Amino acid sequence: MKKNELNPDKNTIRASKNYQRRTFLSASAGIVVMLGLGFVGMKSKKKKLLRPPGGQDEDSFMARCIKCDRCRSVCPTSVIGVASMEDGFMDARTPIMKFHLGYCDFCNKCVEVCPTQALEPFDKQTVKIGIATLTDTCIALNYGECRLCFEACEYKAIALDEHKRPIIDADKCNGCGVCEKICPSLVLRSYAGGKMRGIEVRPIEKEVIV
Amino acid sequence: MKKMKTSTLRTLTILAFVLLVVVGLAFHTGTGTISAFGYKTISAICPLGSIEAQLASKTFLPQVLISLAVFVLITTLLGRIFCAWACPVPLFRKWFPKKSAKVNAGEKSSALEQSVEHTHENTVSKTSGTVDSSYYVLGGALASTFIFGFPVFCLICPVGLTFAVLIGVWRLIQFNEPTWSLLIFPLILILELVFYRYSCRKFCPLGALISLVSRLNIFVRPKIDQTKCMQTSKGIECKLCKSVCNEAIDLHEKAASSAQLSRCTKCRDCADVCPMGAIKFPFFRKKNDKE
Repeated sequence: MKKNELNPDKNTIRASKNYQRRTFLSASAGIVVMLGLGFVGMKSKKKKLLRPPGGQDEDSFMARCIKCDRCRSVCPTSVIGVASMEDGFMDARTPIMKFHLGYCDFCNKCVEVCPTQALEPFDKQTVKIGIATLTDTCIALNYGECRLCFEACEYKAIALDEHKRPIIDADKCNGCGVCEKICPSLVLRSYAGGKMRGIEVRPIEKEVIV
Repeated sequence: MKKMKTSTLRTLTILAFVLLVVVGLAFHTGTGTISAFGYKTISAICPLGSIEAQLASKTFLPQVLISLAVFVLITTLLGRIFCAWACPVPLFRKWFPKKSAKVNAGEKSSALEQSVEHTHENTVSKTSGTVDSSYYVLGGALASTFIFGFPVFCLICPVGLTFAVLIGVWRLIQFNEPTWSLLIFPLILILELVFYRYSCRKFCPLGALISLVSRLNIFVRPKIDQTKCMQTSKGIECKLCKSVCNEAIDLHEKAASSAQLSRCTKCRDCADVCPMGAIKFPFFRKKNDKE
């Protein structure tokens, strides 16, 4: 044993070279994987997603979110869900708003617990998670007589026109999602006709808030 | 008996952390996962994650300084204790056995012979002076994070993925949310453990980061009692402690350097496997132990 260390025989030298080669290989493989992941992640096409309030600056959000799950866990209304592989490789495991499960009351708890400020402190008056949009399955548009979203909206962002169809005021809507949560359209036949509700909060395409 | 005790204890502490995540899933406690456990505004954020977040956003986040300081303090006191006692990966590392050393408690004698056969391989490892590849992976991860502007390693972090699977299964049951993630995340985990058979040592950049800080650690380091050890006292070649060590630390080597011992995760596998009970983890080093 000690002899080997002082005067390494051929086997030891060969094994040592093998070891070095293996270390070199796994080190370079690791570096390549890391750089490759970064490159693929940056280049991959990104779907606009609905983030919890304070996470609307997508680039700075993605730079800071370490996918720790605290915001999702703390959310009292369960509106914060987890993005999956289907939402994008980069976005998997990040928090997204699931308005079928809840709505946002801007309680600020998610911002409070975020350890990296991926969710930044927001102004309750100006923050916009997204904007509600009517879809083809809206009951009022198709059959009339439904005004649940109009009644539910706390921010008076939904008005009714002369035919009692909802009209959304994009300035007043902050994307809290209570309309989508409460919308009864397609709720009871979720698998047969898709899951789209009659009103949906959609991400803002242009950056409205700074 | 004793071996069972430490490894069972370790499994229990790891499961305790998993339980904390489950509590966070069941109630709205906001405890989070091991990536950033916390209560209200206080959080024990993953040191690698916090560094990545700052590099990626090119901003300085003062609030993570406290948890970084606590991390340095704990690591100085107890070394890489996280890797053996809190990280969930060792739980399923058992399913991906090592190539050379399959040591079972009941087969000590055969394992002993086996370990003698592998003397060559054993002599080699650290004498060559190569640095473990995980440090390069750490460098690559940080560089990539800085260049591409998002925490790259978090994407495939085995700790994060493990809890992501747990959360995914939970949400599948609670909210009926089927997703490909539930297949892809475990697949990435398996790939990592298969391609880097010793992925904790050769791949994990978090382990590498903790090891770097753990060089400050001087307490609870494993120590061989030279009078009890078969190899040092009787000259019988025995490498059980090294063959069982996930970090391939050879405690016999005189030059079991500080750098090498800083990779010790305090899992106590070596102390449990040693037939002579020669390995101890004293909190303080005796003065004459210093090289």
